[in-house]
Amino acid sequence: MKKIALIIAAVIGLAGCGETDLTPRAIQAETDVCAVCNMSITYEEFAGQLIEQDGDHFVFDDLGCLIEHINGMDQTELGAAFIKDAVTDEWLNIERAAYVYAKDEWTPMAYHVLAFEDEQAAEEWLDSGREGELLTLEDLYGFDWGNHH
Amino acid sequence: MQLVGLLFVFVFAAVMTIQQLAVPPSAGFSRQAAAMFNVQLFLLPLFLLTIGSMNIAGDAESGWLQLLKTYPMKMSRYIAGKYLALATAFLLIVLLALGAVLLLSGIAGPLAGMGVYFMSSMLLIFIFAALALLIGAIAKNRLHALALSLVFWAAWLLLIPYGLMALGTYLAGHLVKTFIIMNIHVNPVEWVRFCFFLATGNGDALGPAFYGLTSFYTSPGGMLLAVLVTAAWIILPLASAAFVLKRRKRQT
Amino acid sequence: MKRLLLLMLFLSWPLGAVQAEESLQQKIDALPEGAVIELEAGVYNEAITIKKPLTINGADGAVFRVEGEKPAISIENTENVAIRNVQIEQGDTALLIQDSSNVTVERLRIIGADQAASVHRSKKLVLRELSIEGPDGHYSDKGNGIALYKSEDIEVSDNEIRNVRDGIYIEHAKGLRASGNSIQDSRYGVHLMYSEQVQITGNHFSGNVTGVMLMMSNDSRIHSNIIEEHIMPNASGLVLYDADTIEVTDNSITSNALGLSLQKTGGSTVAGNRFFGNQIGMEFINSAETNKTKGNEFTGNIIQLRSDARGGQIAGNYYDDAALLDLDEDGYGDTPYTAMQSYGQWMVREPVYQYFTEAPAVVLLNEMDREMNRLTSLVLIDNSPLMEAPSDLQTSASVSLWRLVLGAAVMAFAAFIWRKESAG
Repeated sequence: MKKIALIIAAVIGLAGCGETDLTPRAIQAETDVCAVCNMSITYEEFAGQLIEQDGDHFVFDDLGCLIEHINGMDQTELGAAFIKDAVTDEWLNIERAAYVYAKDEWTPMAYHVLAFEDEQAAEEWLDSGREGELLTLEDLYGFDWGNHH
Repeated sequence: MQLVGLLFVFVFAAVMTIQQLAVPPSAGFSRQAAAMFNVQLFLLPLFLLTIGSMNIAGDAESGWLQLLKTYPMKMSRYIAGKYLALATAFLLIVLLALGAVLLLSGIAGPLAGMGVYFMSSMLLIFIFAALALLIGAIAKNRLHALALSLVFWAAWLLLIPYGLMALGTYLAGHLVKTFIIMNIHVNPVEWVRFCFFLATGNGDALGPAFYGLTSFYTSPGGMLLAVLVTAAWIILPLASAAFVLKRRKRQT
Repeated sequence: MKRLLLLMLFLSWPLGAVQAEESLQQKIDALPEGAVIELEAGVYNEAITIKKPLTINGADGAVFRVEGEKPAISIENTENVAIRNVQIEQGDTALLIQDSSNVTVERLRIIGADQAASVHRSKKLVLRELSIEGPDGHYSDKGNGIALYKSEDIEVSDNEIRNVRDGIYIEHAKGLRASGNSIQDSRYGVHLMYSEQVQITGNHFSGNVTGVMLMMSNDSRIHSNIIEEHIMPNASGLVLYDADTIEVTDNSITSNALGLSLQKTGGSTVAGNRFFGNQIGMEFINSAETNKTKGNEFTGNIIQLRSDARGGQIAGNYYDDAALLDLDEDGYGDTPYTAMQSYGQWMVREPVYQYFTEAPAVVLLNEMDREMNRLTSLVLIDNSPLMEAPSDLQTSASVSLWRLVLGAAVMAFAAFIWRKESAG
């Protein structure tokens, strides 16, 4: 029994000390649901993802849900957060992305905010005949989600 | 043994009837199914481990084993004989209990999944009879065997799950999940429980976190692995028991 | 594949012989407003657009078989249109209604469409007796059955919808009545977003991920539906998320992974529902404060109720696992019922704990819990539990002869062997 306890303690210790992998994982359509609104993630191109310091992954169906989760959580636990690029469908770190509120663009929770690689990409997208306003990450934290229609 | 049998018949029949009157059978994993299965999980390992291990330890204690060793008989045959006797006795008890339940259900109303309970009982009996022999072989005397049996029973059934739940309050979810998956494979009670969920097609009841695991074990390759793991839980304890007893023979 | 399609086109040509001289679209364009077309049986390989008042009555066997992205039938910028009794085979959107009013669609059969019926900015609609069967494949790869955007005053009744993403998807709609629909094997049965004044009555939902998903909506009623067998990963019968003033009444919620979930929901009433044989009967997440839960029946759910917080207004429900005394004979138990255990609370916080559902260790814990909480009264408590179930469900106590005989035989056999063994 003592040996087993020792082994368990060792494993926990190792797991605790290890460097947490803060890279986003792939969405699993069968089982992934939004950690905030519980909707299954069927539009991967709008998905968000958050990795806590301890290595737990949370996925979100819409940027709005991701921001709501960040606003409600203990900030010291936040490892990294990602959102899908509206153009390339790649994961973007939310710290480095640019955002556009475009009320004619549908998103799963109808929050109408899209993410882009950088401001230039966002402006290019707007120049192609879409209406919308540029937002920063700071704007998003205070954004009145769901009341723009 | 008679007492154990009676107790089993009584408890099984009582639980079934009570659950039956309260809840008609429904699809999926219901409280009725859980209650029936939990009675098995609590009682069968407890009696198998204590009775089986004390029997072997008793043989060693009384000198009967020493006497046997003077005969030209292989240790594996001794172990196999004990194993079959123990398993048969408990199979009969379970058969008796299920017969009583069937009889009662004939009066009280329909029951679902009797076959599953019989299968899960068989699985419990075959695995824990083997483990009981190993504990009996390790134990110094009957009292030691009893104590060891109770410790293992409590650890497998209660202490480890509580420990895991307690760990979960300060460990990351994915780590707890890893420990639970480890526990399924190193804890025979959990293994039988997991097999029960798979066999009844209720793997989803364990939660989406284990979807990957359950879908693996319901694939052909996974099922083969499940059979192998189960066989390992029977063969390894028996082989170790034979090994321990043989070594003891040389020492004395 | 292309060859096969060409062959099919070729074969169907003689049937649609009318098209050779005059296409259906040309015929429609030539008719006056309010005309009635009696559509002959046959295959029409043509997408049509209706922009004026018109009625199309299909004969049995009238089929639109359309390739490409253009909807088989589009109704745009018009009013007083009715379409009845046609079959649509279309890989993309089958029926599109935009900016129109007073449109009736009845007895349509839509097979294999990615998006069966899509409605935008319209009002006074009736969608009745549609039969919709989605394409094969996982729900994340296909569209919805009936999707309604920014529309109002809509009746959706007696439709059969299977194998789609969301059976009925509603966004920014007002005044919807959904009744008598049967929705199966899809992601969500009804999916409401930002809607109000919605009545969901007398429908049957089964085998979906979630029966009714109501989000960011208010002033609505979910009444007298049958919601059963939602048992996939993450499945639930009913979910209310960020909702207000919703009435959930007299529904039968049976054999789901999770019966009813209230999340960020307030001012709502859950009354007279029957929670039966679910893994979790009902849960409150960020919703403990202002909702009323009364007169419900909780029978045979593994976890009857769970909540992420203490407190909550639950009163006068029936629980089959309550051990109650009613000495003053007022129909309510004299002692409170502890409706939630510690395990239920942990499970909400850490999903991995679901593994321990009704595990031996948890069962023991719940029993201890029940004894302790009676004193502390800190968790979810029903102070006036009902003595009798509101519904008059009776278990049929029929005597089954073969079980009686078989049971006796098995017992006799076992006893015989046992005696013999112990004697020998």
